[in-house]
Amino acid sequence: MLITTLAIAGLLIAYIQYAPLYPRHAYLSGWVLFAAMLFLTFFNLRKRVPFLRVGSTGFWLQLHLYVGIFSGALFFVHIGWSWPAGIFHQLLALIYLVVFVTGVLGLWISRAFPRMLTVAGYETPFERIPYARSSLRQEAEALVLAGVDGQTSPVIAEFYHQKLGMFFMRPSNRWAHLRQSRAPQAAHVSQFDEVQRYAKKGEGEMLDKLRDLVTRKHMLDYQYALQSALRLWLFAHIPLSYSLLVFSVLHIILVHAFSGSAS
Amino acid sequence: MAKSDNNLASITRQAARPKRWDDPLDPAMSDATLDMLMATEPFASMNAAAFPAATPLREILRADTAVREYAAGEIVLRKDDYGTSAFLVLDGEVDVVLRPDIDPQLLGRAPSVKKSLLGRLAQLWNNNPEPEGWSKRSPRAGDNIKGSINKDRGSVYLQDYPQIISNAQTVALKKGQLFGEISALSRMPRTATVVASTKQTRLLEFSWEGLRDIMRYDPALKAQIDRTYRSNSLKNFLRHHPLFSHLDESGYVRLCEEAQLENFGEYNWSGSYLRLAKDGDPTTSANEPLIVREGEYSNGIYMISAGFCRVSQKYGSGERTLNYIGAGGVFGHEEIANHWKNPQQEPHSLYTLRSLGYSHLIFIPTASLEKYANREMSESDFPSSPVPESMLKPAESRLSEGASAPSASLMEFMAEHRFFNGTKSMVIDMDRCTRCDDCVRACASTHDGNPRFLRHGPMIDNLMIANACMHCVDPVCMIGCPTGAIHRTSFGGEVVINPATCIGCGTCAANCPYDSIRMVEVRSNQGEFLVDEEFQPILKATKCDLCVEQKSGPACLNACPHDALSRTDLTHVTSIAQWLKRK
Repeated sequence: MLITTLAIAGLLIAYIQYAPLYPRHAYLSGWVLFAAMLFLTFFNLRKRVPFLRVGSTGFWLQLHLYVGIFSGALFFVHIGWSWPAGIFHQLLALIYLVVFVTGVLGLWISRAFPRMLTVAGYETPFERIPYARSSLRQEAEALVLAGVDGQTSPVIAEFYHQKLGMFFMRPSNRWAHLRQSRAPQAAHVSQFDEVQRYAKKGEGEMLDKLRDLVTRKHMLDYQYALQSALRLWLFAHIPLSYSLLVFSVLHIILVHAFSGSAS
Repeated sequence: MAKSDNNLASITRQAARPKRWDDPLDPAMSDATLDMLMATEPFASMNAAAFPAATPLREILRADTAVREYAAGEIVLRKDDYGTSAFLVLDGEVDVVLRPDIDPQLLGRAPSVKKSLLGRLAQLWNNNPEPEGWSKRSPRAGDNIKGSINKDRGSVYLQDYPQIISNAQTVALKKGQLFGEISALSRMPRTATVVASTKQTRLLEFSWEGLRDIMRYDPALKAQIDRTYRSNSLKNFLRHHPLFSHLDESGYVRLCEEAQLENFGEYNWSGSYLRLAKDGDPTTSANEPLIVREGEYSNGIYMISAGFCRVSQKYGSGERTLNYIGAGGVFGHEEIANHWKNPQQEPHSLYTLRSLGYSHLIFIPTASLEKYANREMSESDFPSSPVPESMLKPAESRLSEGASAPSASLMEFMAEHRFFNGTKSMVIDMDRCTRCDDCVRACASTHDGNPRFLRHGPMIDNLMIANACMHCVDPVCMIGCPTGAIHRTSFGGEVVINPATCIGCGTCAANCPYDSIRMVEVRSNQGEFLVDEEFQPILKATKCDLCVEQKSGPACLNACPHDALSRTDLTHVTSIAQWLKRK
């Protein structure tokens, strides 16, 4: 990280000192930026060949991060600290910024979310979450159906139908979980307290079991929300990285094709 | 009273009580065969009256032996296999192959070949598109190796056996001779390959329980086996120990005569462990045989020859685990050494020692120690304490002070799940793991598109021990493989399965206490499930092989971008603590 900071500082000093003297400095910064982008894209290829002895993926990720941060400074030097003109160049700059920002966001998510997931408990592999959800729903439905025997009050069945049916059916409260909000759990607690008032005495045990299932579903939803985020940011970062490369190649061709008239 | 009887009847159901004889080695053992055995040596000379009424010799033979017939060239035992049986030659002869060893591939082992650079790169496009595709080879073992399969037992016999052993040094065992008993009783790997050398060789196979019971009531057999053990295995074991390395040959002989051999726990402990784990309480004190209790007068030292023991100390109303020690570990010498330095100080045991699963121990009485142990040896040569100094510090300060010792809860977790058996356990730091499954994909990419582990398993705090083969010190999975398909590699010692000779019996998967072996239904390249003539799916056992074919080592380890995954040797408590301290 120290090397990256020094490299960025050196770049900025060089830009301030020498940019006025060399009007075509954008060619140099552009080619270096393109090389950096190629290198950054190479990280994804490295991950596909874990059987080659070319350094650990952890080491490559560190390089990816440092070169990525450096490329941010280089990008601003390249565009001369002003938003480019023309739709093509604006689109190119926008794609770069989205790739950069999703990268930084991904870095934060990758550092912060694993610990949150571990602390929250109920660790479930992402692919098994639908199965775990379905099991919870079946358990909850069996519990409620067992109570619908004509002798118990219809309060719990109604409560399940109105408040919990959809909750058990699908992932819920994704944004609340991402914000670390406890509001959905708190809402269910107060709903359960309310139902408790109208339930018969013997139904307390069933309500406790249902309450436990709801708590587990919240934990499962939490796992789903955070594990989804840990995967989804890559769906923006990686495809856009390839788009960026394609646009960059077009940009290079255009610049060199018209460089004669430009100079 | 009648009412309570009715209540009892409503909540109970009568069932036959399980008995010692319920699961005989050979359910088809006939009375005629038993008559023949009772008239054969060494059973004919045994004093049947010495056996208790509950376990008569005839019933032991009925339950714990089986007469097996072998063709010439059929492999009876393979070198380095683990097994629970001993054999007695009834008719014919067997050859013990001493040196050179028979080509491992002929014995059903996988060839030890590393992939070339091109071969590794080809994994990018050459992997089978179907899961568990099986088109490159025949699923029949006999079609893949230079041998054949015995249909009844699934064992391998060597074609052209005389040619194979023409240059080998062998020892012929004839009628009445016993073999395989030491490794069966001491849980050591077989030391040599044994092959039937005559047509219709008849052997009597003993389960280790049967052998143990006969030894208990027949002093002659016990003396014979004891003699063999003491003159071979025990002498070698003690010879390499610094306490006795100064002795001459006669000293070793006398020491071996005075040493006592003790076994604790259930031999095939994985079965009982899995049952107890299912009930949710695998490691209560009652399930762990007591060897030495803290505070007892110390009569000698225990040297662990095989298996694992837990060292604990009283804490509150329970026992706190301080360490677990495996083969080569010594317990009780500290107390004796202190007594030597200060004769006023009585040697009372500082800790409690319990057997975790099965353990085979050598007990050296204090009197023998005083005669044979090297009392002048330097501090550095003295056996290390069964409890590292760092483990004696208060649990809270162990890691914070930079000591290389894990927390008390981690120790209990490791003992509860028996993870101390693993030399290459997959430990994941869940505070770093982004659940990206790059490790799983990497594993699949090096195993024809099929991952060989589950990124899931028991957790404590931020640590997960994933369901991946741990390449155990005591590989219980290797007990009972009929074709020797599961074996250790000769170079790195990794436990691997040769898919060509695996017959899909599932013995290894059932034995593995860690659920790390999966039986898979193999398919053709077109995705059709391969089935036999009875439309039963053809199975193969699969597990992590630590990427033995890859020069780069385990792909999972190389693939983790967040340094969250490690293949850790959990046989030493300090290794996991050191890995945790890396941050």
